[in-house]
Amino acid sequence: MKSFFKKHLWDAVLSLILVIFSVGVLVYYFVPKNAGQDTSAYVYINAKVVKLGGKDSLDITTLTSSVKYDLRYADDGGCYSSPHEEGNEKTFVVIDAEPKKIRVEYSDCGNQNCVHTGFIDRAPQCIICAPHKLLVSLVSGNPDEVIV
Amino acid sequence: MKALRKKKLIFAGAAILAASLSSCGIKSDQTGKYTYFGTALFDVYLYNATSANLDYLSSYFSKMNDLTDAYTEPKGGVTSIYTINQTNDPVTVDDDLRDILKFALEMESVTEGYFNPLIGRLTTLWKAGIEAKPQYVPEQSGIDEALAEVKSSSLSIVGNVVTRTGNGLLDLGALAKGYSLREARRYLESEGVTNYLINAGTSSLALGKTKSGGDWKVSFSDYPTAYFKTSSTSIGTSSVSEQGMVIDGVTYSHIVNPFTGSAKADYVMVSIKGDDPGVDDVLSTVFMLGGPTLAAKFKDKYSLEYAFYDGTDLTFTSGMGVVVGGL
Repeated sequence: MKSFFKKHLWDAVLSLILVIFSVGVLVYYFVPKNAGQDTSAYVYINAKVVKLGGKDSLDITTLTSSVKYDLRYADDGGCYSSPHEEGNEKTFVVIDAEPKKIRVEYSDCGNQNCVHTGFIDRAPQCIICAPHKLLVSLVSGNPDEVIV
Repeated sequence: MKALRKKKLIFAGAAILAASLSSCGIKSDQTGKYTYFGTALFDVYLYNATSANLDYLSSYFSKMNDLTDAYTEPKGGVTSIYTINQTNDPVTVDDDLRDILKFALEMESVTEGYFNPLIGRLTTLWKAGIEAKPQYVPEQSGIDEALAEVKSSSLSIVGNVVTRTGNGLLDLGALAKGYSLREARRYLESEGVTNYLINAGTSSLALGKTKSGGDWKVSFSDYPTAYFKTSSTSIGTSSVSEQGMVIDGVTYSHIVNPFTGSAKADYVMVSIKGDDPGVDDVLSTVFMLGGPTLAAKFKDKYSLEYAFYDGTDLTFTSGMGVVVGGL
């Protein structure tokens, strides 16, 4: 018996590695990711993502303090964000993100619907500013709720 | 030597297993985020689906986006709505564009003209006023001129050849998203994908079941304390809050009456629950013009349930299952 285990020790070790690896792959694919707690904000202008702080989206659930971004038009007609700067005349929208919520604090649009929307704090809420073709959208990893 | 060979075999087996598990054929959660049809944000959640399913939808939406864009010159020799709007000569289109145009004409007939695919000049006129700073109501003479062009224009489709008559411009903004979701839903059903959500900028939704197999909770942005639960259905919603304006106490929207040219809005929101995202998309626009009286005519024909919000009261059909008073 002892000689059997000694003879097949490496077989057992490799089989165990194989099983662990296979289970790991299965867990990666089938165990639910994101419990719906993570909420990220995406900002779009004219259907193109505007990066905030160099990233495509801003995870508002991990924010610990307020952060503001100015949206401005580039010379080539595109749009970019920049850390908020009081009184900058090129700014047409100010995004205010606070821990677990986000809003359009300022917009130079005519109807101010986006500003009046106030804070949004859960996916799939969104703020729309039609004059600027602006969309601020909250996205959850695993939604079961929709807003129309 | 023998043991070494065995180890190699085992490692080879593990590699093959890992490769097969990682292939696109495996079913898992698939999510995509796209920007199609103007400013709309497409959120796609497919559960227990393959990456090939998501790739197919992404490709299809991208194509339909290009085909139905009335305002951007297409690239790469594509024939689109824009192409048709540039000429009164016959234009040969591909099957997808032909089919959506046929659907548009069908809905024009069904709605007795409340939906008019050639309303482009009027919608452009009103959108310019809504998006201007300060906002303004277009001159009545301009509205009358555009309305006359809409009324005197027509579209014919013979085979794959489309001919636009008159100066009316095609604008499929009221159905492009819904129609695309209609086809997407058919595809997912044919692929056996039953748990999914496709949210086309909130105005058109195709819903399967949730990831856990239950109902989705759907609430209204214009009336946040009301919601309903549903699954395996489609929802079309029109609202003035996203593209509207109030001037001298009158609310105007991007939805234009093809009989009068007016964009005066009597309702803040209409939301329809049905079985065809394409129909829901068109009818949610039409009901904003015709109100509950017109909606009642279509309720049984398309097995619809709907809710109207006029800024004061939220009214809905019993089958909508709306719960008012809490989230």
